[in-house]
Amino acid sequence: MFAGKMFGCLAVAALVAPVAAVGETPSLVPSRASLTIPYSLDGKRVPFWTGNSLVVEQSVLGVASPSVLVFDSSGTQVLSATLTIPEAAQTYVDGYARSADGSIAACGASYASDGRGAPFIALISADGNAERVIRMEPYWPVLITVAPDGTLWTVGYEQNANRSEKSGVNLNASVLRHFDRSGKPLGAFLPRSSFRNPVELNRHHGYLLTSADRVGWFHWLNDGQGAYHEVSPAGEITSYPIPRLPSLKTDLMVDGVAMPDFGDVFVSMRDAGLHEGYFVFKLDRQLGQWSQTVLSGPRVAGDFAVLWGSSGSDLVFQLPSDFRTNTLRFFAPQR
Amino acid sequence: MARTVLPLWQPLPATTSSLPRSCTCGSCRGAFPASRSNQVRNRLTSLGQGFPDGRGVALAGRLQRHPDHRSAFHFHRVLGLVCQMRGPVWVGASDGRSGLYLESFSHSESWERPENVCLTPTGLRKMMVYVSRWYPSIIGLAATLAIVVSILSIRPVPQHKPDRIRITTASGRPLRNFFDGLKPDAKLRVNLAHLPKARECGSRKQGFLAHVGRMLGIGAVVHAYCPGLPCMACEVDIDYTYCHSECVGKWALLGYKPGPADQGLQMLAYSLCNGQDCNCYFGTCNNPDCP
Repeated sequence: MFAGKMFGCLAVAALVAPVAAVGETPSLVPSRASLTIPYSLDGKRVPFWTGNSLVVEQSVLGVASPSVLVFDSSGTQVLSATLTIPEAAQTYVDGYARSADGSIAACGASYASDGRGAPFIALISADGNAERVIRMEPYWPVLITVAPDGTLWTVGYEQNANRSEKSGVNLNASVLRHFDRSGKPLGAFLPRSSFRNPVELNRHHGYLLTSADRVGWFHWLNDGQGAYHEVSPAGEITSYPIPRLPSLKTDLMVDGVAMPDFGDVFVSMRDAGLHEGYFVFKLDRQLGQWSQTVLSGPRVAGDFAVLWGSSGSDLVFQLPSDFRTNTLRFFAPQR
Repeated sequence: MARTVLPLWQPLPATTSSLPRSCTCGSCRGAFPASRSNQVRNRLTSLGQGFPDGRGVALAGRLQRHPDHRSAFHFHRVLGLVCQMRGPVWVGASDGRSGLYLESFSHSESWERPENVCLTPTGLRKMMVYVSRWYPSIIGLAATLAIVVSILSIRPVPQHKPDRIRITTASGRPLRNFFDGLKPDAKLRVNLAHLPKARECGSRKQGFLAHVGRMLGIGAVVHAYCPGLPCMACEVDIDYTYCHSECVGKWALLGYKPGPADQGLQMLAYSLCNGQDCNCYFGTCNNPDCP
């Protein structure tokens, strides 16, 4: 926190995204002092901003017991916990989410040294002392989020023991699922057969979000295809096409999706092979369209900003110039 | 095999000129130019490094002052781990006890694990004496104040391992063991059996070739294989920070760090793409199905 204040955002000088005239495009402006995480993220897996906190996987991939650190929105470390699955030789966590009560949900797969393995959803209590592991086969979740009511939402798909869909798999099984905290299914949406490419179900190609009254899943393919699905409290699902870049010359790269408390959805995306053309879009649900917004703030050398998520009504960004200092910046729509 | 405990105020290698003349770390041997800098600005660099992050880890990345000087955390020189990170590193009270720990790395002929030094009041006092001996009084005073501030700002967070673990199926049926009733996966077992070969490959210092694929934010997906070995292709999902976007879609050379037998082959990556460093990818090869 000390460092965060020290390195607080100082000046609003120039536009990060030189894509449109400021007067015509809504902008996001710095809303509070920046935050420097008092822990080096260098070399760490990309952390998860979830539940108004930053969850950093401390261990490397494939260890038997992954460990996480949790920093709250003031930069204070509030939890250091280990996910333990007895007799596991390798445990891979695909996603983390933090709930309002401070507990951590994780999804992934764990393997014993003799080759036995299964997917799981794990819940670690807020004090790190208790853990619940739910074995989920044949459903392998890759994205997870915790709704404000504590229930779990996941994205994944059914696979056999070899993590293949070639045999013994129900291709009509739903990919977006809703569970209570004991793992009991509460709902399921979107059959696997409606997705032509399993890459859309890869954790590297999707974000699962939650807000007070809805759950959103954003997924995309390199060629710019994809969709954003939203589930309402009534269980209705609405799908929107994802924003299209004005010109996609190489591959689409999505640098983050966030849903702040006021309900809008923001996505940060760019052309992976270009050094210009970074965009932030906001979803207009009524029109079913995405409108462009620009990020204003300190000028940075890089050409994009990573959208980590939302903290209350703020959007949490990290600029390339902040990578080395582990600094996060908060923005809100200009009023 | 020198193992030295460096004092907190030892200047960090803010530039390459502050590095020792030679360094060997595991598989990495590199000669570094110039002699250690003794300039005041480097001493101040180390102070600035420690103060804002008194509760956390000193930021190796923050040492980067100029693009030519690069980061102090270079993977291509540190396949055995952070040989350049020779300065003091605050790691907080990692084991749940109150106190400060100082991790110190020394340059030696082989990589060695860092030494944890608990700063007891006695140790602290000795360090203060050291400060006053070697530094101008104003620097010593500043260091003392900074240490006090750091101590006061520390709020130890104990590392929790769950003492109550409940395992069930999705239907709620309790399981005695997570792996109960599962059939061993032959492919995974084969993959695990290949690990010694991979290490052999690693011992020949051939490393891995990797295709740096899709980036997620500031991470990447890497497809890697070990040249000269059949069937050691692997797909590695890696989403670690600070991968250069220039590396996307390029072939890169991966370093390696063999892990324990049951934990896969961990890999560190550095690049030959666009002539730039592509630090850092870090993951475990675990997929036997890759081409």
